[in-house]
Amino acid sequence: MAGRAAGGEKDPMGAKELGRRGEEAAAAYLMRRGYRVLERNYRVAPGEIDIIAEAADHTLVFAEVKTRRTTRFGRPSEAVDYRKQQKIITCARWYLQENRLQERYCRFDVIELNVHGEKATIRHIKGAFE
Amino acid sequence: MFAKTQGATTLGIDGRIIDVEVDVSNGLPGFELVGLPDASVKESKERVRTAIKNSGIALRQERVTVNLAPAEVRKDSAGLDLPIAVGLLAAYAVLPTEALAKALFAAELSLDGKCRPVSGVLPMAIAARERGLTELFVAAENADEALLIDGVKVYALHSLSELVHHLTGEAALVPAVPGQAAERAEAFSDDFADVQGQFQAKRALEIAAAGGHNVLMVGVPGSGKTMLARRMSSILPALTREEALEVTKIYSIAGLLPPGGGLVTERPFRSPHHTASQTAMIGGGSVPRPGEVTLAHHGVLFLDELPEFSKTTLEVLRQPLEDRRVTISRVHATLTFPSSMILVCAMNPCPCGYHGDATSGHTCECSPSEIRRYTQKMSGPLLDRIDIHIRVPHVKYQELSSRKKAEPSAAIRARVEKARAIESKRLAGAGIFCNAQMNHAMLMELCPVEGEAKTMLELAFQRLHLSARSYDRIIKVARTIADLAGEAHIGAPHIAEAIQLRGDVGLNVE
Repeated sequence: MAGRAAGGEKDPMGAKELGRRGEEAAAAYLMRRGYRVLERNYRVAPGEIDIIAEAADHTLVFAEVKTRRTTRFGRPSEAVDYRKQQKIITCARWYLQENRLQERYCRFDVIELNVHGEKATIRHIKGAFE
Repeated sequence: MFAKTQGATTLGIDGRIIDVEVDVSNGLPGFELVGLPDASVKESKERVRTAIKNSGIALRQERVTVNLAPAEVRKDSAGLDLPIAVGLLAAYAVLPTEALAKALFAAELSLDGKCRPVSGVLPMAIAARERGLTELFVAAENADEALLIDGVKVYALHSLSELVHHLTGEAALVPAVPGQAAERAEAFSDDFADVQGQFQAKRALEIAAAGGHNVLMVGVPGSGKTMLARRMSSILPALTREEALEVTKIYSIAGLLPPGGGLVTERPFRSPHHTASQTAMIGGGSVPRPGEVTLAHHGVLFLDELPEFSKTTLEVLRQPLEDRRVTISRVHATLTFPSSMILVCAMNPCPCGYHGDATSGHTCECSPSEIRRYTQKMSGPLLDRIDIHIRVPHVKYQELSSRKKAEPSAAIRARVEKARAIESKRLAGAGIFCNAQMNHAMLMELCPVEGEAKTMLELAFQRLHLSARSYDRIIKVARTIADLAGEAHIGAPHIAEAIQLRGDVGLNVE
């Protein structure tokens, strides 16, 4: 998890801050692609979903954003392990229940950002898990 | 959307049609596979999805539920990959559902969407026909096997996309036709023409083949017991179509059919090593699979070095020998496998091998207690089920060096077939087909011993202190000998030869 890892005083920009900016960039990316962002940091008891968006075809997209400066510890998307997936799925259920959207098409995406200085490359994995 | 299709699995030696129901609905995406799938079937989820993707079909992620019915049958065939894939595509409306109503699908999928062969296609095809299904979609390698069944159209598939194009009507497949492989000329590599001498043993095997009797050969090392036994299947009558289908079914399930092989036309010859376990012999496993006795169905089970087999392995042979089928009970299933075979056993008379044979130039060095321990391994009840006991002596030099070819198997088989025809005519009403299968009552009714023969039997009975069981056995073997001679009544010479064939071979029988 970006927020808790590394960081420290030596780091000019903390991991938390990096993650936040990554989510920002991911949301902007989705909007550019014609998605309507419904929720940011949707937080409920079991956990949090970074972005909930609606695609042009009305599919609900639950996106997890992972930002990394280095691939030394593997690709960002690899950090979304089974436990994290289950957590996101539980949160998604929560959201669907709350908004009475159970009959909608859903999808779970992972958006990974690799940061190189001021630039970042975005990789959008649609339907990353289920 | 909902779609239903048919796949199959095997249970024992029978196929079982499995209804594959697929439902695709909105909501959280997921893939649920229910209906008692085995590990290999559970994994099909990944193969199916990847195969579909790599066949160039993109499916949006939805809530997918796959149900395999009936729910109480354990599904352990990788061949369910294809029906699941087809059901899924139909539920996504890629395929028309009407096309699936009368079809059975059985193939494993590879990740690139190719179809792989599975075992047990023949029994599945039989089950499909019984269910009234008319179209069979199998991997190309399995097509010949499926074609053994009449009345169904068989399609040989190479890939999933080929099937999709066929079902959508884009590019129809042509039903497969039987290949040349189906009618193979039988050529036995082992022929009795290669066996010099051993006339008595050959005669005994001929009688055994004619009457379906079990044989025990006792002889010194190198006397040719194994050589003789290996040629046993070459003198047995050719398999009838029904027998061949039954054997093919068993081999199909055991996964022992040669690649692209159709019908098994040769009688099986099984020769398990003496370290074989009880389970290897009669079958077993949590869902029981056929053992050696079943693989030898309609053929020959040859046990070389009989006393080296463990006692328990030998004792489990009693039921299959007696009932011609074996019932195996395990947690997941109780199954009955057929095991109608001729048992041929070979052994040395003692641990060193030379007991009671002066001609070979060796003298036996075993102590009486060693010999007793060696021969006692075979229990009376087991030996009782072996009708013919013979000694196979050392081969003489003159016989061995003879350039003259011995009688070929084909000639012997002609006589055997003639005798079998007489037998099956006599036994037609009883539902059995050879003399060895007669019980005491049938024996009394169908094989009267009269006149000279009766006197001789009486004499032998008193002189040799025969038991009731060996009395029956002698009559059975005598009947076969008479059938080989083409005689309607059992005569004195037949009885005399039969008595010889249960002669004392140094074992603790009676």
